[in-house]
Amino acid sequence: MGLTRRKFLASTAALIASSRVSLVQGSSPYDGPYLMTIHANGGWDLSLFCDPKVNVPGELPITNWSEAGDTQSIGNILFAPIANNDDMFRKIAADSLVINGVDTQTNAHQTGERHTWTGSPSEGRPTLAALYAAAKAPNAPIALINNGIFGADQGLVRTARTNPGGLKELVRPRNSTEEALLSKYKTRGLNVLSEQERYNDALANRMGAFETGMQGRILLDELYLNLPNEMPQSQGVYQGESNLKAQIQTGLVAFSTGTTASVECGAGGNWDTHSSGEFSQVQNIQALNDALIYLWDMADELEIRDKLVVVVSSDFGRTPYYNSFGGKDHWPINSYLIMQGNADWGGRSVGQTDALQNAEKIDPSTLKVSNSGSLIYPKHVHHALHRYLGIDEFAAQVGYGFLQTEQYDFFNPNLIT
Amino acid sequence: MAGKISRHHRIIVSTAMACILTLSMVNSVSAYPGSLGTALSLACQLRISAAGGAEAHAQNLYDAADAVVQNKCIGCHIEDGIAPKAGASLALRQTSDPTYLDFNFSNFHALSEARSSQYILNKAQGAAHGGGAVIEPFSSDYKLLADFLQALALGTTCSSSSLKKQAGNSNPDALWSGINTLSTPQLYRKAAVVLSRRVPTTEEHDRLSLGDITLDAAIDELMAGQGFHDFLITGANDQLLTDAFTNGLFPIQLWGSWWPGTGETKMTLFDNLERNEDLYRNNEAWELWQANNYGHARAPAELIAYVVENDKPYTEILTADYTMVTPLTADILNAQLEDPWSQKVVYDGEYTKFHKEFRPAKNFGTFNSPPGGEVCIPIDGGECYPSSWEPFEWPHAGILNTVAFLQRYPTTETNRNRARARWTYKFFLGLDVEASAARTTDAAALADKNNPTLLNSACTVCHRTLDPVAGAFQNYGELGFFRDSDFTDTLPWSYKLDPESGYVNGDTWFRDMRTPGMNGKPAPDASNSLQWLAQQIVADPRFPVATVEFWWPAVMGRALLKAPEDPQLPNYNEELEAFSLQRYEVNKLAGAFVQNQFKLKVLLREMVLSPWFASGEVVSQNAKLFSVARLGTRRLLTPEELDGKTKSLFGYSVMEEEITNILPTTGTFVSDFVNIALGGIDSYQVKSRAREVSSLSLAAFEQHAAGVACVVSEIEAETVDGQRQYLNTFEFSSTPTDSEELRAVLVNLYSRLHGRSVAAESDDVDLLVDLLLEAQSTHVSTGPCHLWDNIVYAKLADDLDTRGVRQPANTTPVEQANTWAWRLIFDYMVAHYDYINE
Repeated sequence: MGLTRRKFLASTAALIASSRVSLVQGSSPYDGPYLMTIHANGGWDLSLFCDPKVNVPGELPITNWSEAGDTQSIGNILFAPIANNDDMFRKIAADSLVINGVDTQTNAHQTGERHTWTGSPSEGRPTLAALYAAAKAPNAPIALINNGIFGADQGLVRTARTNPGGLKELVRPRNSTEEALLSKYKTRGLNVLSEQERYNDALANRMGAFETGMQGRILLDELYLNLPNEMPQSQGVYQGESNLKAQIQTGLVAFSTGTTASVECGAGGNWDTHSSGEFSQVQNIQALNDALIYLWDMADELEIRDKLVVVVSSDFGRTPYYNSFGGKDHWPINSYLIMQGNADWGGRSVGQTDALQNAEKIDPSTLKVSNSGSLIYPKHVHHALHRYLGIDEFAAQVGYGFLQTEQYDFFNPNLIT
Repeated sequence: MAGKISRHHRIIVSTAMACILTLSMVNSVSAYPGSLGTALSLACQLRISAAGGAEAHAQNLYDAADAVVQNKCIGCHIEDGIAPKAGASLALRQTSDPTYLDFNFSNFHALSEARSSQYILNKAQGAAHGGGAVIEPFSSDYKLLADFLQALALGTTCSSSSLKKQAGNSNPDALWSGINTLSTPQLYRKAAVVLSRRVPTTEEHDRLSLGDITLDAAIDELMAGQGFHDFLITGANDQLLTDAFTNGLFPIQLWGSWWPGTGETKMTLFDNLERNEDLYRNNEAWELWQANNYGHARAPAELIAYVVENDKPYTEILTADYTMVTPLTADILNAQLEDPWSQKVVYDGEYTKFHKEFRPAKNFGTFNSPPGGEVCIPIDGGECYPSSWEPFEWPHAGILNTVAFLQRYPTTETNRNRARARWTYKFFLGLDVEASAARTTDAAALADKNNPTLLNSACTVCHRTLDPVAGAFQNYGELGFFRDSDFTDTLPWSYKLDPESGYVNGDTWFRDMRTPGMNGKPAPDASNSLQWLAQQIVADPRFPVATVEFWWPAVMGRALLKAPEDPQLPNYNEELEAFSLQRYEVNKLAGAFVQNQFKLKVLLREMVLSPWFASGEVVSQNAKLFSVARLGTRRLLTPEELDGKTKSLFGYSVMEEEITNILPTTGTFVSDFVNIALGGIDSYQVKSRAREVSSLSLAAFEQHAAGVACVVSEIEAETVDGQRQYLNTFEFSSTPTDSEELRAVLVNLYSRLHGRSVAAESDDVDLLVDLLLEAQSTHVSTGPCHLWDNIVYAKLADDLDTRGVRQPANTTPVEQANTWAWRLIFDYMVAHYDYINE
């Protein structure tokens, strides 16, 4: 038995009874905060980045740079003196929170990226970006953009997959006379469909994408007008190419035009450097840092710096020693780099690893190393982000909260490890 | 029976069985995948006490279940086995131990009390289970275990109510009553769009409806021609991702010095070139390199297509003693073909489809002997290249040792072929080793430097499976060249020169790794261990199941469901039930595949006839189950299917253009501009298809519709009446009115474009009539739109001229208004849900 017209109208309320024009008038731009996640695919070497390590006498060498260089710091954020770390951290350390010593509990890539971005090593949870888009702007025209990397929306929100170079053409407006007439009849077509025997909830859900698209047409027109024709070029990466800066550009413009709540980006290049030596990680970190600098410059230009939260991470880390071929294998201890313009919690590093990059137990309330504390797991970071981003109640409501989890006060500006 | 259950345990089970026996009188309980909850709840309400005879029955019940446990679980869960060592709660004993029944029962009982019987049953089905699914849903083994666990659960539940989850029981046949089945014409059409990338002709539909051909035979006929070939290539690449070489990953790497047969004349052109497209875009060498790259990159998928199209057993994709070559790669590989091209290969910058054709051949282009002999290598069919090395016949193992497969899943000196082994397991045995490693790994285990993959249980749990297969790839180095270390092996010099490595001259594999082999059997001969591995794989019962899994997304338009892992997450019960239902279907299809001598076409036909393909919309029951099973709506077309469908219905794809500067290929609006937005992949950065629509993908669908409508409306207007595709009888020079003839045209549009039969007086047709008349009456000149796609328009207009059926059009305001109105009609129809789905 198909759904009745009444049920259909109830499920798609605003659209069906109205013409396109009134629908568009009913939609309003999403004005933040915005969330961007950046994934370094393959496992990054944190001893070269935000959890720097110097060689320990009697142990295998951890880093080549520490033979001649010293660990750098800004506040209690430490970083390795390689690549353009200095440029990047000096520019945005004050707006950054580094969480080190996060145990992903795995050495498998798929499990690692899932654990890092959903907070659980198990299948079934949405990514932070998907949960955020669903909570904050489920009806935005392009609520969630995924640039082709790991994603999981669990049906909470529609994921828009695109490559940044093609986005502008995709949202190019068409002739307004044609558009108006077609929208009118497409709306009528949805009514006709809803009366048919085959109509059901699943179909209504899929048709919802049509409605959202029509509702948000004016915002998409705005996005089209603001997207530059030229894409910025990213620096070279180890194996393959990166278009991270282009992803950042389209994402930030999408934020600033109110069409999008969250964007999932990939850093590009191959971070899974088992045998390619330190240079490959350095090359990737250089390009990542360059892109992050670009990100915050552009956020300033678009005047969304204060409303933009950026989370950078990877599958996991790499071993605190080189293998016999000059590379490093998988290491489950990871870090998150979280940034927001003018955040009062910036300029801090929390969590800790020991000299051999083993995670230390941390007291949830003081964030100090403590034997009575717990290892930090991705769920703790996600739980803290849920609360900070104001989506914890929504997460619990849809069944994806972390209710039985210790609460780490990562965003307390008065606490450091 | 080899042992006895203790008195204590008998009491528990007796009580439980009393519950079951009584319950069975009031409500037949079927032990099918899903939840035990409903049955238990009812049983506990009855509060039945122990009954006579239950003890003997319980004894038999556990005997049977233990046989399953011994067969399916003991391998990993034996005391001190890899599962308990990796943290699993369940430890078991073998039948050789006299205490095994009591011991095993106790442990099942304890685990059931601690975590519930449902938890154990879920594990057996693969949910959050390191060993994956070990018992097939709906199988006799499953029922035996479920019966026992149900009894166990009743024994504990009646007193403790430990089970929380409740859901309806299900069986595979009853479930499908909750969803419509497509009509025969609908199913045939959907199969045609998926398998042959086209909508069937009216004549083909008529043959089927008149009974001139059976549905089975009609589906079989779809599996031929270019459309089916494209389906096979796309479906294979969706898994193997070998098109990455042509989409931004490094190009296939061959060294002239390693392939000297033609190296001096061909490969040297490639030497020392950097990958700088601007510099080499119009350079013959760059074009050659591109063509060479294409030929190698496509070889694995073309091998699959060749095997399937020629009705060879599908096992040949791994056991074939040949590879697939283009005329160019045939030259480079010094290939020997049973059916060689008669046309001589010329590389003068002019490329045709000939340069892109694939044929089977044996590779004699590599050299694995030290300097010494003098042989004559023919070049371009006559001349000789004197070599000081001896060529040898590549030990073909189907896909496995194509250069593309080996370079797409390369090894390193520390990886030691494990990536190749991992993907071999995934593609051809259906085992995702990495997913099975989802269990937590503590840092201490990872810090272990004493050969942990061989000795540390946290690592060996996967590596004992993975590493022997990795070893079977022992003859192929980083770039896939045969024994690239001095023609004797692929071992790195750092290993061979390490006095502590244990290396002995003549070794072909690492001594600190497991012996090359599979399933506990060593490969008997190092020189052909990969060929041996291929034979082992195709003889493995997992191969047919993996084949169904390999082709499932291409046919069904959906990824396979994954076993849910966290019972606390929403819809866990439904997801588990849907997963079980799908596994049942996968195994059933695999059985049919084996029975039909591994003929993939038969499997594809059975998949098309399966309810997972043939189901339509949800009727009423099990809506939530179908929702999590991703059923209840029609199948969203992939970009490739959309292009094919449009071409079959209109004679062209939007912005279709032959590109021949490097290799002849067809570019379209969909393939070149909106592929990713429509859910496509590039095999490199985007490796999995998006199967749901978003606002952005709909924008792309709408642009595609606008492109179709633009050209077809103008071409139809320029075609004399009677010769048009869709608008015969329509008078372009007159203002239209609602008429019987107009409605007949629109009914036909619904039939052809949407595959739906609608009445002339239906709401659907009313809508189009109103749109046409309103558009016609409100037309505002927007100029010709064919300029947007001028290449296609010009080609079609030329065709009209050639056929002598072109007429002047759009010369009056009425004609212009009519053309515009039809443009909006086509736009509406092609952007519609019923067009972008099948």
